[in-house]
Parts: sequence; structure tokens; C-alpha cells
Amino acid sequence: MTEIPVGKDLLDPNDRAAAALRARLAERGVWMLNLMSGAGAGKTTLLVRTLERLKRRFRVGAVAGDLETSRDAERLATAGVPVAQINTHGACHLEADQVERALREIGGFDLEAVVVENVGNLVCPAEFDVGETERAMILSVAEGHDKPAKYPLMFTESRALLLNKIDLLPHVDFDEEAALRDVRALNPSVEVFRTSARTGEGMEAWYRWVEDRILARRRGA
Amino acid sequence: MHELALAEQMLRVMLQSAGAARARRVLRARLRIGALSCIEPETLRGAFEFVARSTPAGECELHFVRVPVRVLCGACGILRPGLPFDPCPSCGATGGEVVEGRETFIESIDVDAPGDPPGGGSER
Repeated sequence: MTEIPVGKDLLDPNDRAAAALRARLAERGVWMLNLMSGAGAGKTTLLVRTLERLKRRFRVGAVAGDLETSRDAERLATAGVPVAQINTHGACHLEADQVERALREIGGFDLEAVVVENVGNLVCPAEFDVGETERAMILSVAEGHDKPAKYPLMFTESRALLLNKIDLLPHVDFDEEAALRDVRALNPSVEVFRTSARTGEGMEAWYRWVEDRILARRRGA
Repeated sequence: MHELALAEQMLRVMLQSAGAARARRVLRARLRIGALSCIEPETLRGAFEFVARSTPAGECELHFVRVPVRVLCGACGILRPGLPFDPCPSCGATGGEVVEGRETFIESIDVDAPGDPPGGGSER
């Protein structure tokens, strides 16, 4: 019996595919966002609004991940942008090679920005790099303020946090201060946006954050 | 279901390393799994048994080392256990950088290499 050192992450195949995809997107000048959240946080509604806004200035597309059905892709397509659907058939996250194939389907490498709507799940998507330029996540106030403490990894890994459905604050027991205290302890540099995709409140600041990033990529950053 | 995807990825990494050493079988693997990673070792073990069946790693035993989370306190700079939002036992501050506890790492594998005497279970 011989011991061989391996010294690799067990996600090495996905990490390699993701790094290759990220490099290719950079070379083609495409900015790609990996948008993650639990199920029912309002990802699809928020994304439809965001795509409607972005398409006025940029060539944008979207990739929707779901266990089954093409409902999300159909809803995203109402924004009038190219959309690819990935059905994971039971898997709770997207992987880099799936996203790469979906991008080819919609001519994603010739776009300026692509938003990937990950599978609704607060756990697994945080482990799988899909080759994105940046990660953002949504927490809706209806989910409860203990989520950052209970699911710390995704909150640690995101550049932006959208605190969504703030129009529901009067109706739910959501301790915003406690939630944000935990979030900032986990991730001091995270940008927080308070939004309601339904009423439009707070969405302008979020659009600007995204647009600034797409413009930076256009300039070659 | 994400342990199944992890098990598939892990099997690929192990078979690659074993193939490079021209090994016949993978007998044991040592894994370091951080407490902050979203991996449940027993679920991963079950998933691995399933995906590795009838491969050279079909009888591979997985040995897990759970790595606790350690945070570099942002205020006093000591390495402390717990999560960033727990207060530092030394100075009481919260916050800091997670330096250990996120790993999902394959350290090494034991294989039957060409020069090894047969053993460690039935051949074929």
C-alpha cells in the first residue's frame, strides 16, 4: 500500500471549470452575476425588474436554474432578454459546466452582462463556483433574521446582500438590526440594499451598483 | 442532494491521482472538512459508496477530519474558536476573518501501487 498526497479541493473539477469560464468571460468583456437566495425570497421578480432596467443600456441575458420546469425562464423572458433554463433534476445548485453550456445557448459570450439565477437554496449554491464575476444574495424579511447565523457560508461569500420584501416589514417579526449585525460580522465589506421588487422601493441603488460594474467591465476592468 | 455532486467530483479527483500513480485500487482517502462547509460527512460517505461502486475506489474507506471554525479576531488579533458574530473570548469584540473551517479538502489517498505486494482484502 502506498500513500499518495492529493492536496486538492474535492470540488477541484468544478473549480477548474469555473476558473476557465471566468477567464473566458473576462476576455470577452462579459460581467456575470451569480444571484443566490433561499426558495421564495423573490429572486425571479427582482431579476425581471433588473433585466428590464439593464436592457435599456446593455446587451444582457439570463440563466435560470431550477429543479424542474421552465417557469422561471418563462417569467424572466417577459423582460425581453435571451434566457436559458437549466433543470438540475433534483440537484440543489448549479455547476460551472452547466452554466457554460447555457451561455453558449443564448450567445452569452457576446453579451455585456449575464445574470445567473441560482437554484433557490441557502446552503449548496455557496459551495459551487459557477464562474461568476460577482456573487450577490437575497434575503427576504419574511424568512426571518436568524438566517445569517444559521446559514453563514453564503452570507460570507456574497459581495452584495439584498434585503428584499421590505414592504412586508410592518407585518413580520424581522429584527433588521440583529440580522445586519450578524451579516456584517461575517462579511464586513458586503454592500447591503434594502429593496422591494414589488413596490420598486430601493431598487434604484441596486440598479446603479450593477450598472457600475458592467460599465467597469466595458472599460476593461 | 449536493453530497451526490460532491461525491462525483471527489471520485474524479481521486481516480485522477490514482491513475497518475498507476494504482489498481484506492483503499483509503483522508479528507479535511471544515465545520463551516455545507458538507455532512455521513451523507457524503453514503453518496460516495453509491458513485464509486464498480470503480477502482469501490472499497475505499473515507476518513474525515472535521476542522473547527477559527476566526482571526479583527480587534485584538488572536485566533479564536466560534463564528465571527460570536464575541472574542479575549477582548469581547465580534467580527474577524474566518481562517479555518471552510475546507473541503482531499489530503491523501492510499492505493495499491504496481510494486506493492497484494493484500488489504481480496484481489478482484
